[in-house]
Amino acid sequence: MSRDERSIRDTVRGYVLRELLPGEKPEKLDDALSLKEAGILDSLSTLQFVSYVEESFGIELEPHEASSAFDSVNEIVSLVVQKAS
Amino acid sequence: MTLAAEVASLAALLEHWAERTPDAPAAEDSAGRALSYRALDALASRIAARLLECGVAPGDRVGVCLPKSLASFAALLAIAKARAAYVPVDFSAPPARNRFIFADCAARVVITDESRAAALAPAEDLAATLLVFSGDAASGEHAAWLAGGEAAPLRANAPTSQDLAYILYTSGSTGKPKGVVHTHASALSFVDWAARLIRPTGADRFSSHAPFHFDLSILDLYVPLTAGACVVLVGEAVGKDPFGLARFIAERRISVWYSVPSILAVLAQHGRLDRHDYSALRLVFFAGEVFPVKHLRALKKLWTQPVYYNLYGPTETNVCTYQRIPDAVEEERTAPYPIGVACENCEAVALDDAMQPVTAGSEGVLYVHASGPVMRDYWNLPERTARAFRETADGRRWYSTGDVVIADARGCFDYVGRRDRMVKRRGYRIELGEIEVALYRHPAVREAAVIARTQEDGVAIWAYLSANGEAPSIIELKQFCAKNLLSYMSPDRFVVIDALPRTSTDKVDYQALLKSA
Repeated sequence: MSRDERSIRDTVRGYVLRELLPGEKPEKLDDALSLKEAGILDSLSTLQFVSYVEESFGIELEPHEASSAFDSVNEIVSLVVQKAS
Repeated sequence: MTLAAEVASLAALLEHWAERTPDAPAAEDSAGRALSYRALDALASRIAARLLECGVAPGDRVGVCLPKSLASFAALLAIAKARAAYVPVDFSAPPARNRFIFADCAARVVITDESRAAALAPAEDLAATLLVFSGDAASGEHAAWLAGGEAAPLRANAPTSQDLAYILYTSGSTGKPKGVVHTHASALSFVDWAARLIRPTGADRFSSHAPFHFDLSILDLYVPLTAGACVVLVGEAVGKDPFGLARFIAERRISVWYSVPSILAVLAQHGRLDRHDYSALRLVFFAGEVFPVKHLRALKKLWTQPVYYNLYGPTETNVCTYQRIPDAVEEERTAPYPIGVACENCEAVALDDAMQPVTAGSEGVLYVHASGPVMRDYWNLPERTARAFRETADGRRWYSTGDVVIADARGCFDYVGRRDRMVKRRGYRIELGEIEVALYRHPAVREAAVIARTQEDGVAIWAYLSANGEAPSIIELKQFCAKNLLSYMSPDRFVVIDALPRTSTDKVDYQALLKSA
């Protein structure tokens, strides 16, 4: 894992824990967990999360990326890595 | 007077334009596929013919569990053509909830797709015939229906305006959703009022952002049909990305937008609305919850030319009051705008507990006269219906919204709050008791109490729990709620405590929870 990727991961995990799972212990959050299936992300919180990711990393996501590939921490990190490169 | 005042059913609006402007676009989906009025009428006729083959008779209920698409829109109109009532549900809701709704209304037929067919299969609790729309489920287009070719248009056989049009299920305090029954007469009363306000033409393009099980969809889908205008269906994938949605509204030349304020607030904050051309947009409606003034002000600076209206009304009344937002939102204003004055097809009054009108400036509960756009009843719940309607001394019957308001001298209402445990979130109403009932089903939950906190950006739901033994993690609780509750009901915060605070009579002390951080 590059340093960039680690810092992207920290930012993404930080958002999930702070905004979507306040009070949860960080070790309980599995980066492969489907946040939509788990009921952690719904349509409105996805909108806000997508905006946060776009603004934090200076990228723009296409609508299909925001809907299909924006689910687990792993998916979001690889999307950002791919977009930022 | 609009077309809605001249016809007896929602389907007749479609049939009117299918004969007069058959080639005009009636509906478009997110991918840009369009159906003319002739094609939409033909598609609805084919589906209606299939419903009649399945034994659907006037007054029957037909469930609809489909994503938003041209075919699912046509299905709603088909059900009206068959003189049945449509019962739309949230496609992504827990299957058990949708099963309950279809069983509760004794649906004759349920229309769904392959992904939900197993979960809705007929059994002892639910005897409905399944009509499965096959095809490309991912695009929601159900190619087989769209490719069905021309068919003789099927005309509703002598519908009456007292026929049931649809039943929308809303949150119930006992943990079970309840069905709000609207006739074609009550639906058309609202559609006629909205059409008089909007004055649509054949050139208008209406957004359909709300899902079909949400009452905002009644304006989106049927007001365009009063004028031969076009309905632009906003699919879920588009609605999830603010940039995508902002671009969609511009590129599709939407002229009338209607949604809950939370979507508009996200667009104003994150949509980069300054990048696109919104010259087609002439009207913006919002309803369902309070629009925080700072976001409304920000939006009006980005979308400067449309006229804005706040619409108010529970599912039971469609829309019963409205307020035009001034062109400039005062910089110093922080209070939300009033919910406004009674719609011209409604009578609305603020009454005290003795059913007497309150004086201007005093608090009262908002009542709407049981006529015009007001529901017929709650499906199969006579006692609940009896509690919802009350009579004044002169024998007139009124629907109690349960909303506490203050009226000014010219009859403009300000929303104050509620006395019960119902809250509105993203336009949906939630009985906090329904969430508690669901949480108690978790084996590790010993006690559960749910409160709503009003924040600057809307309502946040907090669940306080005590556990039997080790408390479940927050992720586990979220997963449990995803399986047992609608997504907008899932609490934002879970707080595990040793025991819930109790009053001297051993009831849960909600006030103490509200005061805790």
